[in-house]
Amino acid sequence: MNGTAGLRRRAAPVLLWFAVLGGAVAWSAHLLVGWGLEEIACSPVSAGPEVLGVSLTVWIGVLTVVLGAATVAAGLLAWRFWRTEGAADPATRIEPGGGGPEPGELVRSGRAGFMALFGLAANALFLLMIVYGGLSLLLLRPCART
Amino acid sequence: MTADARAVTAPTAEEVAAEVPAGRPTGWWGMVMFITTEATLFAALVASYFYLRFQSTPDWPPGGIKAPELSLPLVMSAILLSSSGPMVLADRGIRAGHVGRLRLGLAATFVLGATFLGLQGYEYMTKLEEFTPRTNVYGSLFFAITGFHGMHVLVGLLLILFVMVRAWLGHFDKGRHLHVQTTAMYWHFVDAVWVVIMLSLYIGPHL
Amino acid sequence: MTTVAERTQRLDESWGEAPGLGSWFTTVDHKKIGRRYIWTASVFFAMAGFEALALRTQLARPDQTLIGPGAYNQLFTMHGTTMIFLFATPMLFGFGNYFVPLMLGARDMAFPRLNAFGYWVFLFAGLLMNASFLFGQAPNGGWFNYVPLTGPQYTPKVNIGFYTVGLLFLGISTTAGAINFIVTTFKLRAPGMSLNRIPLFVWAILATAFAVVFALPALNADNAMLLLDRKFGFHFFDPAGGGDPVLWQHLFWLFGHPDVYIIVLPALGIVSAIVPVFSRRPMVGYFWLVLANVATAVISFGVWVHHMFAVGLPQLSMSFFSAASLVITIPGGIQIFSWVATMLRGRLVLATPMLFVLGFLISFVAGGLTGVMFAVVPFDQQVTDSYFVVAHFHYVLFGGAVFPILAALYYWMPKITGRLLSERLGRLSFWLIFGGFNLLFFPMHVSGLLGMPRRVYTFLPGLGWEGWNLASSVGAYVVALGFLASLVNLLWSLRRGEPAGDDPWGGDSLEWATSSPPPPYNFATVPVVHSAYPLWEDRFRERLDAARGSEERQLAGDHEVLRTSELDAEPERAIEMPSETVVPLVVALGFLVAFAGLLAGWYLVAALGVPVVLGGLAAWAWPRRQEPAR
Repeated sequence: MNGTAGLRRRAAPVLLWFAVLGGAVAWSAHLLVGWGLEEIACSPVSAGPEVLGVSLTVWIGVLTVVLGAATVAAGLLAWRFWRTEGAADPATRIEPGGGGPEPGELVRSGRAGFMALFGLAANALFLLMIVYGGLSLLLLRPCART
Repeated sequence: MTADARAVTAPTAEEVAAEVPAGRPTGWWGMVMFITTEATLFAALVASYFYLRFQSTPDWPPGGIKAPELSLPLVMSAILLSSSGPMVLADRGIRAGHVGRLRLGLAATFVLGATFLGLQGYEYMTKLEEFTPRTNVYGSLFFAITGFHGMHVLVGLLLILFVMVRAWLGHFDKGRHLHVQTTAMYWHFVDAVWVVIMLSLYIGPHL
Repeated sequence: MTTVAERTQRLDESWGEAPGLGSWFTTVDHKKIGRRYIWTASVFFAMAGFEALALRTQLARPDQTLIGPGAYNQLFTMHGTTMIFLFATPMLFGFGNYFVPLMLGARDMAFPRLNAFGYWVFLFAGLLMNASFLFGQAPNGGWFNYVPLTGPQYTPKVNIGFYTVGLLFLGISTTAGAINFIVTTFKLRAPGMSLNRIPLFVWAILATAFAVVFALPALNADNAMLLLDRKFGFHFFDPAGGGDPVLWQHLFWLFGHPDVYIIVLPALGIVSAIVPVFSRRPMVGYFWLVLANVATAVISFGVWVHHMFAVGLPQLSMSFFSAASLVITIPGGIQIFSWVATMLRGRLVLATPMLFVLGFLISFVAGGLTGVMFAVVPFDQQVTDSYFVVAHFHYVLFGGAVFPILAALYYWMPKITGRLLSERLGRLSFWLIFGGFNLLFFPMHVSGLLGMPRRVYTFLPGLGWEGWNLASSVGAYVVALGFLASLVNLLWSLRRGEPAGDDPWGGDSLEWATSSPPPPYNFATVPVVHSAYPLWEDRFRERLDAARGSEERQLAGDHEVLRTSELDAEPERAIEMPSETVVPLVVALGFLVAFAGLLAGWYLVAALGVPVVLGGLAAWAWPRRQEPAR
């Protein structure tokens, strides 16, 4: 039981970082991999709009769904953490008791709540871009140029 | 200690708010940022390699150049990648206070790294008989990317030399070893870049 | 147990730098270095400004022959290159250098010697690039330097060498500065300054610094490859050898688009520093501004192909970038709404800094609107390479960077010099610049839509472009007068300005908690903060003064700075900072010799620079004395 608790303790801040950065990493991967696949599929040396025998449409569709899901997961985690931590308004002064130093837990949980809310909003933005990018698949012919 | 099957429970607010990262010295962060920017530079070069490769005619390497032979590069890889071992020995060793392991580890890493560079020089000599950077874009890419990496290995050797001198002068102990740590980080980074180069430039054309 | 007097004396001794010329070459004080960046960047601004006046004079009327095409190409290239690389970022880094440690409650940057080194490299690289004029061989391929025009076949002379080598050299300074900002912000914050209490200006600099770390390598790779193509016959961009000129564009804009945010984000950070103070209330939506800064910096790496919509890339790949280009306007808009809400819900104080902020708001939003138009591919393809583009980016760059920089000068000069500037001259300067700016750039939207291409050294009469061009040229001179007024203001204030005192504006952040100018050690006592607006906390100054009694809080050991934890700024330990040294200058000189030798093709000379650099770095890294245990 101790082992699991220790693992959970070490994993917890890592989970917070996933909630904060997950969407950003997913979107970067979506852009780079999607664009890379498109350039390979549509390059002069390629047979058709496909990579390794699989059509470009399928590749990008799968990429969008998988990375979109990862972003949603990060967002849900962020929402969950935001509810537990709460974000302290940075304008509020936490009045130290009897002129002493601020309670460390309050500083930490305020900062963690701030990070969680950040993750929530950021993941929404990145999800939007992943979806937009994937949507263009339905509207444009692969490898068409203007 | 109940028989609750759900052994994994959700993390508490306090666990989530625990501070990670924390406690790293400024020099550590400086090296992390330096490695980040250099890694991005290598990423840009390797991306350019793939970009130009897929723009090109179906045969790669172009212009009648043979796909790179793998035996010497594999030996070089073995030597360079194994050099991370003694570096870890040196780094962990001095953290536990063992100056002997530090000196030995650094010296071994240096020898292996220098051997890698020597072999790379030999490889260049043989390659240059077949093509040069001016032959075509493949030649340009090959020599530029491996050459740039080689320069990074050279810088790494100079760093190791510097740290070795300090180690022999007794500057490092259990509580003072930041330069060893940052040099080790840089060295492992240079090794990791070689793996990417190996896969992209050497093994890639054979696939 | 030492007394307060003894500790104060120790602070003076360990932080004071020797007066006189010697210290000029050896200083590591972030305030001195920051001032130098500001001064030097201002000189480059004036040079680029005169280049622009020359361009506008030539274009005032059709068919003029004041400046021929060859010279014109050099002038517009250097105007853009100097403004972007030698003015905007260094100026903003100068403000960052001066004020980031102060706002964090720290005594210096994390790497003082690296800081000094960064300045020297900036100065030398700028001088190197502008030395090209002495040979009549200034870079002439436009500030983004497209191949094949700038390749060995079409520009065989050394013009482009100055560009590639100069920027490779300069990149070292920018990257060093960025790393310094990141590590300082991570490790040297005042106790209590958790992530959600960091001042917005510092957040902006932090986001910018990360963008630099990831963007500069693309430019460096590009310039290195072009250098190899031009000087050594490589084939990266040469189609005959299997290369591709479009690769230059990809790598350039992969750097170039984040670069415009590298310029704009610190400027927006300045606006975020000024708006609360001149609205007399905390910022509405602090959280949203942090989000906007960071999200903009990240997304900026995903939009670069919008500079290439007319190149003939596949539609599907362009759509990825169009998506990001549209979404990036969201965080941009959030920032605007936050500022406006703060101003509406506060009590506005219309002093000169705020006037320039208002000028910024109007111009930057206008530029942003035309920017959104460009995100739509069909529209972009109609107006590409016309004066409409020139209008857009001047609205966002002049509006988005120059106005905030002027606001910063009026806001922070009193802290730097200890003297107030004249409000009347400030207002005059503002109206001349704001009016002149709009007269200069608004007509370009029209001439662009009427078909006038950019980068032409003259134009034919009878196309309907004459009036708009004349108006622009008049506007340029009005703007110049406005800057002259501010220069006069500054010089006057240095001699006759009223003493500013610690806090002339009633500010909220820590730089206002110390004298104007600050002592070399910034704060006699380490401040402790409990909010994002420390000076607006109850009895902040009394608590800070009272802390003098504590040996720990006064931190009067030898040149000591307090290191704190990354996320929550909990105190870790005191670390000792280096004092004056000539080593950073020596290393910078070594690099100058190496790069200049490379540029000239004198490889033996270039090789001489290498041992200077290596030796200098060894001296730099050698411990000053036995380091204390970690």
